[in-house]
Amino acid sequence: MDKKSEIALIKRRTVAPAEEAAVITGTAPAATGQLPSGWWMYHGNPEHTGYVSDSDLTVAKITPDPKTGTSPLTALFTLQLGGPVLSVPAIADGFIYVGLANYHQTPDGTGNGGALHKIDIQTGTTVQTFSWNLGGDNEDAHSFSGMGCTPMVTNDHVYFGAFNGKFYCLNKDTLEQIWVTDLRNEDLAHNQPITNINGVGSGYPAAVIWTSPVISSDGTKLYVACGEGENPQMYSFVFCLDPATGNVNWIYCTNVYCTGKANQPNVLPAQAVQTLPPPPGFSVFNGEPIVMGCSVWGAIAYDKDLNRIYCPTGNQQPEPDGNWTEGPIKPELPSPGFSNGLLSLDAQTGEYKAFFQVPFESNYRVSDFDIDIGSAPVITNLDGRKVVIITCKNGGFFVLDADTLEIVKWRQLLPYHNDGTWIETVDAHPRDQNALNPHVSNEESNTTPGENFSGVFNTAALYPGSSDNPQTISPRFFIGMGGPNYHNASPGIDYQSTPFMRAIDFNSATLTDAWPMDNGDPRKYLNCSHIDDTMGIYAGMYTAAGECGLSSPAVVNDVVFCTTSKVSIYAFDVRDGKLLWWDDLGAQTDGYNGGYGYCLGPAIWKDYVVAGALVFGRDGGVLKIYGLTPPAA
Amino acid sequence: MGKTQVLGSRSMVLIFAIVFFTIANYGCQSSTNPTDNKPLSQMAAPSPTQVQVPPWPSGFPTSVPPAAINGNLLFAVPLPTTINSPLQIRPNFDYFSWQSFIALNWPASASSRGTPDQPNNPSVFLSAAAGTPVVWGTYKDSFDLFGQKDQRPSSWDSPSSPITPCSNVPAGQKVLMFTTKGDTALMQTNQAFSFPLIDQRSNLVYYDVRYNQAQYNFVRGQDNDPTSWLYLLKNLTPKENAQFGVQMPMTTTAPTNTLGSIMVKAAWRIKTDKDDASRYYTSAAQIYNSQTKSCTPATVLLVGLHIAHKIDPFTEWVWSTFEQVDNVPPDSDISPKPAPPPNGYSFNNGTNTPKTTGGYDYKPALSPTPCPSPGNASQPCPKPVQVTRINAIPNTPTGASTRDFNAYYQQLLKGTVWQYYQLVVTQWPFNPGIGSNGPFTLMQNGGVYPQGAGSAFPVNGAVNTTMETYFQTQNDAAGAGGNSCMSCHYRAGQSDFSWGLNRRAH
Repeated sequence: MDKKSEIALIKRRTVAPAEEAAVITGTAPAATGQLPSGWWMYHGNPEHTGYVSDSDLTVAKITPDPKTGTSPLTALFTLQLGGPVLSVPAIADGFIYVGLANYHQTPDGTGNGGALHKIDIQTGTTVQTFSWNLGGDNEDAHSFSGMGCTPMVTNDHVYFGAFNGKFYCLNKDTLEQIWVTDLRNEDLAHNQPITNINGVGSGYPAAVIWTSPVISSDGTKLYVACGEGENPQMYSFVFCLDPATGNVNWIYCTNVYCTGKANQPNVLPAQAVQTLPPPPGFSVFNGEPIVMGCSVWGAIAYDKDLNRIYCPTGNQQPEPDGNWTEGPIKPELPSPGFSNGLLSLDAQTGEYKAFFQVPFESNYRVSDFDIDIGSAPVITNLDGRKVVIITCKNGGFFVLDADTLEIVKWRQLLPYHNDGTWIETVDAHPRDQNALNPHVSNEESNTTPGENFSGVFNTAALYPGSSDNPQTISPRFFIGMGGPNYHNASPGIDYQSTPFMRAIDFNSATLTDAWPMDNGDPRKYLNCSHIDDTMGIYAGMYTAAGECGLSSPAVVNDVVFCTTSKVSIYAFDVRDGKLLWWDDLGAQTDGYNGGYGYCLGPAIWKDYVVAGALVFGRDGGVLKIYGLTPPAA
Repeated sequence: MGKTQVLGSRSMVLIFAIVFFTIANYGCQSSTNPTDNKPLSQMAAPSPTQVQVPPWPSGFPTSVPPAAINGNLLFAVPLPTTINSPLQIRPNFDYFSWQSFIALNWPASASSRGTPDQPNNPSVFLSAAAGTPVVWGTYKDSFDLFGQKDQRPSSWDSPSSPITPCSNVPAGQKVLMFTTKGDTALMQTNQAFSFPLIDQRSNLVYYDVRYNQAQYNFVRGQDNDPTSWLYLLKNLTPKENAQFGVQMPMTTTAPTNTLGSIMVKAAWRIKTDKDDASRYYTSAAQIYNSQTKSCTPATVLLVGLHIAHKIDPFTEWVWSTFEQVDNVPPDSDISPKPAPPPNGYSFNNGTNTPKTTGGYDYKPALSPTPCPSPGNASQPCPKPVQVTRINAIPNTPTGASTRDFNAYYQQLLKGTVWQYYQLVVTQWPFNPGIGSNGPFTLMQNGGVYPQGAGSAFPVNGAVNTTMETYFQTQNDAAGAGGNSCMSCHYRAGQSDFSWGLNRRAH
């Protein structure tokens, strides 16, 4: 089971007939080719570095006054938006654009649908809302009816995809719809011939959009994926759209048709094309792909120098140990096709360029399955070489050559004992799937296939390094650790051994930890928690059961922010991991092994930090806006 | 908000106010006992016995009043004038816990439910015969309040309830239930949100939840106002949905000393021939078996006692938990190691085997067959659970820790069964209050533990090995909200921290 299934425990609601919000169909003005700055898209930019420098947020600015214990960084607004937030907001020109995973105030009154809010960051006022109802035929198997991606705000437009399989373009100022392209069902008006609903009649979920959109540097093409990892009959596609019209430029199917041979763009599986012949430029493949699944959920990254896009892929369907009960396990890796890896395509044409699959030896346990890459790639330079960084649910952190996708270096991020042996409570795979928090030996875990809920589910953030601080700080990456805790094996990661965020020295040949560690077994970060003597609260890493870093950290100047499943937000010094500041967004949902709670990462714009979450109460969601307040006179 | 947090100035004002009232009223305690509300004719003639109460050890803070052997519940927690940290005032709360323990375990008045017999006469307590009913033991049972189906619970003074599981049981005698899964919400052999506990004699441990007069009457409601009958879900729900949920009566000194809500949960195990009953408070009981619909008499031994008291200004209650000292081996840092109890531990075989990861070796089935099995004497008895204590009894602050208070009070109570009990921990809200007086926030309104629960202290690790056996670690207790009284009960915040009210209203 993957993160979507794990986190989708929101009650299903009565489904009403499909009804769109007021539709204004049109054409967006031509792109200007000027990309904005700030947190205007997922992780801040098409390379998804998650790094912001045009801000006054620094260690010096947010460190609490030792006399009063208060930090100038405070919650300015706590907003209840009418549903849970399951995505990182975008921020542009002083406005937050945030989507809801479920919207309880849909126009049809059924509460089955989604919404995108536009919020004034300085006043906390919701100035516009775009919402949609969800018809019965669009019911999402994960009970999500809204959206789970970060919108992209550029060229006076807001772009986003939703769980109904539709991709929207709105006017940035008014949130009026300019165009919408259906990526689940054929939309020939937009040159979209795919109908991706196989298996839906058997109870499997339909194709959905989880990926945050990305746009080319000249603003003429945007990229988004649509598929579904929990449906063994479902195809997965990468779409290149015209930002002005929503018309499809090209389509790439990530389900390999023939062994040892990459697919060609615009060659579509016949089972996913209802109207034949397909529009000009497309052709069909009449056969069965060698593997299903391989869906792209993580945001696609774009590199203008190589003119490439990089698409993270999920596990194959069916999985070799999907119905395992006893006996020898079948290792999932290597897996067929473009599963469990990173696919690189030509941004102009969709032509296949390279593929990387996480190696078997990178698993924390040999028995790991449902490997997946749910994170987004990050593109940067290392020693003058363009590289792509990708993280994996198996706990792997990989630095790849951006052209060939060959491994430059990698490491496992989950902790081991100092003698190199596994820690029993990390990535435990109990044979008894119904036992709650069982005590599982390494022998049992290593011989029982299981999903690694302790690995990495989200995107790394880059601190590019600095030499103009009091001391030189090497480039480093920050990676949230752990996945959903809605499972029996344990309430999230083993908080006593596993940090909810890793700091990796990017220059290190072995990608060693960038922050000082103790000499315990296993070794832990020294500065990432502290006891608040006045309150008796032990705050920070290694303190709260089940607290996972299922989020994408964000770096601003010399501060790294990370959100967790507790549901909390933290700020650490990039130098040494000193815990600077923290706040709670809300509580996890009630019951069952702690329930679940999610904040998928902060967004940073100038002196503001914004985080939305899925929490207990409050219609299931909350959005908090933090900002620097002047010291009291 | 931004951290690091410190005790806010408002809280300090509050604390100073508490101190003022505490000091101002402390001297009035002995004259404001509930028995004072009774006519003189109903009061037993006092025959006070002088008991020399030894002074506190030198390390104990001066803000803690002298210990006392009396049956008077405190109306305030005595606190120092300056409070720098929660740890500083742990001795004050441990004192409160021990004095509450004595008062609640005081022999009960035969004529008035829930009140002590001659509370100012220490000899009544010190020379009580085995099995003498105690004050809390005469409180109404949760079955009296929530198990009456369509019938209205009887009034506080009524000796019986409309529905009783065992017929011909003397009034006031305990009825402990062995129920099978799904029989009833009153799972008196299952721990809260968890599993049963089986002692070293292979017998189940039984649980007993009781409410004092203020809490019982509040939930029972007024006869002439059916909307106030909160044991009915239809009446409870609207009140739970209020901004701060249900608010039960709180013990206060203003304008006069008034006793508020107290809820007690006890853990009992069955006395066998192998047990030394002189080390336990014992009680006659009837064990009701829902499979056979029959009741079996037994003598039960008190092995654990939770006390929750809503006392001004601690709107999030003060939580004290006690255990019998023979339950499990002492904390590992105790040196020299005391000898095992003469008849062995109740929940540990005295060896390191089997291993107790998380404080237990296994979780029994939800409905284990009792020993001996009714109607099938040949069926093997359930396997005992090997239990160890994960969260040590606090050894801070140095010189006046919970362990130090235990040593003092055990010496004070020498010669009684109560010397064989120990305070495991006291937990309280360090920054209490609701509305304009404090930070209490219901979880559904965005509250987060521990801040939203009044900044509970200690935050974690406040459990009783007999009642939260399987929730000793944070990991194991994640589903219960955490491994402490307040983290768990905060999830019933809308029912004023009462899971009984939250789960058993019907």
